Amino acid sequence: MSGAEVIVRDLNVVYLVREGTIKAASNVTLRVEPGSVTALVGESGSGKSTVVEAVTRTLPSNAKVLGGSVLFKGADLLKLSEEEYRQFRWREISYVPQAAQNSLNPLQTVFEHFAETHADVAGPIPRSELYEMAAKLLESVGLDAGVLRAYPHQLSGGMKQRILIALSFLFKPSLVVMDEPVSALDVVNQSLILGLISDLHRRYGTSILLVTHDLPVAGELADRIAVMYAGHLIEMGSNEEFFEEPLHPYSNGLVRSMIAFSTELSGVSSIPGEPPSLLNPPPGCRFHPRCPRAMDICREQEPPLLEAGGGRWVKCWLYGGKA
Amino acid sequence: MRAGGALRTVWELIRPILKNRKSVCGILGLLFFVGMATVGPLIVPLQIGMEFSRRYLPPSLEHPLGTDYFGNDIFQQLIHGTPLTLGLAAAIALFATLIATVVGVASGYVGGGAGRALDFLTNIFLTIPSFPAMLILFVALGETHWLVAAAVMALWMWAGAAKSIKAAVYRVRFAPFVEAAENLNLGTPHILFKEIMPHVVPYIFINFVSSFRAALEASVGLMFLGALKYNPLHWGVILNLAIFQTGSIYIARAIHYPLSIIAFVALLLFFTTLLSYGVEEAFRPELRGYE
Amino acid sequence: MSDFKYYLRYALGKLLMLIAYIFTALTLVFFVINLMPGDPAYSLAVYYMQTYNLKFEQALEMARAALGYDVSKPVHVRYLEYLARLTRGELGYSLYYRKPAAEVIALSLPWTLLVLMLATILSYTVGTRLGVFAAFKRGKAADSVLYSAAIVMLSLPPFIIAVIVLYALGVNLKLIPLGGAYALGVKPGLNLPFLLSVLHYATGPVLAQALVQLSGWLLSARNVSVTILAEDFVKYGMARGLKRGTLTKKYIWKPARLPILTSLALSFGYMLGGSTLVESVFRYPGIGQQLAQALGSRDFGLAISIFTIMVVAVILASFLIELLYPLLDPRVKGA
Repeated sequence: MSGAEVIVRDLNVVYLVREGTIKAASNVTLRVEPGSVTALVGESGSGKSTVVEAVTRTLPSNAKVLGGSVLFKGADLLKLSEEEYRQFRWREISYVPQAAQNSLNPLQTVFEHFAETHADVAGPIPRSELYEMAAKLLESVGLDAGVLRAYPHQLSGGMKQRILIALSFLFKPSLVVMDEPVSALDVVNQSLILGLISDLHRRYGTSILLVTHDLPVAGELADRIAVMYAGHLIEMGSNEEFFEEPLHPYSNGLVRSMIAFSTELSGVSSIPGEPPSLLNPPPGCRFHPRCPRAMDICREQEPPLLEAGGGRWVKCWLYGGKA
Repeated sequence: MRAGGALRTVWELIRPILKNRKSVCGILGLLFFVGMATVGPLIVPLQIGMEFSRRYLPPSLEHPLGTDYFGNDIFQQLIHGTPLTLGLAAAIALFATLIATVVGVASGYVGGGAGRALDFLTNIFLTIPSFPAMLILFVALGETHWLVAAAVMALWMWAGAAKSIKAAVYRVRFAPFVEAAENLNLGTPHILFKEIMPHVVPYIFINFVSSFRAALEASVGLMFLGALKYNPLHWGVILNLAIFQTGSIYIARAIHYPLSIIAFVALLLFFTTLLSYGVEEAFRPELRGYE
Repeated sequence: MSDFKYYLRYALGKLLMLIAYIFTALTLVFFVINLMPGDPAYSLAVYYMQTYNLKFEQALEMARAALGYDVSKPVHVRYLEYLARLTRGELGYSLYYRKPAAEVIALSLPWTLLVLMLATILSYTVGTRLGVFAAFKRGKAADSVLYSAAIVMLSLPPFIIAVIVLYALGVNLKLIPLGGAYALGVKPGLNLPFLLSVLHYATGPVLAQALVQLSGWLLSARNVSVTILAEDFVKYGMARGLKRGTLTKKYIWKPARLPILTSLALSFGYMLGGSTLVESVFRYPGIGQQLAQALGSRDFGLAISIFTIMVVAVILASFLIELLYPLLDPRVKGA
């Protein structure tokens, strides 16, 4: 079991609401290299959660996939029926949700969560065997086996987060998607969990798609960085290259405003203006209203995703591709 | 508050209600009944007599709902009974909501021992089965003025509303702006009326509507059992006459008599329930059935 | 402290509350009767005078005894006597039946309990299942239909539903009898004809009461389920690939049972109130009808006794349910 490759191509997802449609993800293309940690970075509302929900097939009922594909192990995940996708659920693709506080069933013990997941996904096994398995997983995230008998309300936020991570490795999947794994934690716990994720990645070699709004977190863990803005994937590249020279004006603004200790991305303070409403996004490049280097073409046409050499991609007219 | 500001707040209150489908439907239905109550008695004459030869006539053009045991037109009686039925229920709901608001706001705002005592009292009234209580009281009281009857009934209907209003007060009680007002020593009346009440008023309204509905059900029910002697034209009394006193439900050809009364009561309650749900949904969007 | 000890402390606390509630409620009952304007004993005495052909003074004395309202004695004395009587288990005296009220009630109470039990089981099982089903199908046709039907039914008060059931099944289709608890010729006892007859005669009231409650269960189950379905832990369960069955049982039903159970306690009082109406329509000899009849014949001794039983029953029911709560929800561990 080592990491697998994931290719998201031209993903288009909208949310249907009373006021119209929210273009949450438009023409998103990104690649997770096998066995790598790829960080998907963006502010809230940038569409990163939507991409994740599309990959893990946990989109809410008012979401509609208008087009695109998610290629994984030779299948397009979006075209599979729920039954077919079940083969992948948790066995090949697992998920660490954003809401660690409320993701565990308050009425059952931690062990129950392991037991039922195993039973429903891979069939039941003798309780003692399962207990051993669960205990080992907890150990690998730094928790004592006694936690198995606890109820969620008896545990701290950090402990619950670790349990969610442990659960995600139950079947040693090829892809683990982590949605903001440390944003709800205090600084001390943050660095502990980050170290933990790093260890697990080294140990199991699985591909990790890490979603975060916290650029320094991405910097610390990721091999590759992908940036989203207003529903668009605007830049992708290796960690070193990205931080050394961010290509897109937006990424540039972010990196420049980063302080050494972790900060939240805040469009208001570092880059003047605010992200656009996705109900009626601006024409052309969605960043043009705030871009210091906007050209006429940016206001009219949406730039394509252009290759900027050696595995770097950027969605910006500054780098060629004039129509 | 200046007149303009007051009007605006009233509009703020009404607008979400008008946007909700259920409440609009309920309002239209109720308006129909209110129209019946106000205009009806002016247009439709009331001829009460005893003409047994015209007993239990089926519905026709002359008698839209047929005639009853005494040969009297059922439609006329129901129309003339509408203002009584609606009026009594409204009075009860008004009294009940008044009590509920006072108790609810007091227990929500004051807290501590007094608040807990009020809670306890509210729970007691909530647990005691209200219908049997009213039944006993009214039979014991005998003939009473309708306002007194309304007050007695309101006594058993305020508890649920008080709890809901208290919850509403509680939700705002610890909000930062209230704390700020307290720290600034703005005075309790100011805090209550200008900071807390605006957030509670929608719930007072919601509870008024549900109290109205409950009052309708209870008053008709009490008269149906013959406990409350009101006016022979009140729908509950007519129903009591139809079912228990004349036994018309057991007579095949007379079935239009109890059924038409039931239809009226059911329709009125249906529209009131719709309005009640609609108003609640309007102010608490999380309860919406579907987007 | 072990879990059990916590629970004991919790139960003890609830028991004290129970006693406090019953005490306050019965005191309230006493004072409401005694503080009513005018002298209700007077009008009652007139009634007794006419019905039983008595002299006014006698009638007045009887009326005072029946109501427990003796203006000649000071309030606190009356109150103490009232409490003393209750602790002895003396509920009052029925003038109409010329028997202690307790004896009269003992005959009719079982019928009401039977009807309420059957009706609750029926409406709970059907209603909650429909409600959860509607929650899963939220936004689709099935949900709208069920939701609308529930609101329509909810707007119908017990007496209307009872009349409709009586008419439809009893008068029209002649499927159910029009009065009584069992057929005349049948001998009561643990024999099949009797049991069948009892069920047959109970059908009307049970169906009516069940319909009254049904929409309540449906809507409450639906609303609770909709809230739960939106919860993070349900979404996470789905993400993990848990099967529909597992999710429904452990993630929806289990959390839903708690708030629904609380509303069960609250509805018990409403059900008892409704039984006065339903039983009267069906002429079913439960305590509901007995209360109505007692009031009709101004038998206040019996009426107030029945009412006392109702109050205690409701408080007891909610107490029992509160005892169940910690067993169902690990977050509520007593103190």
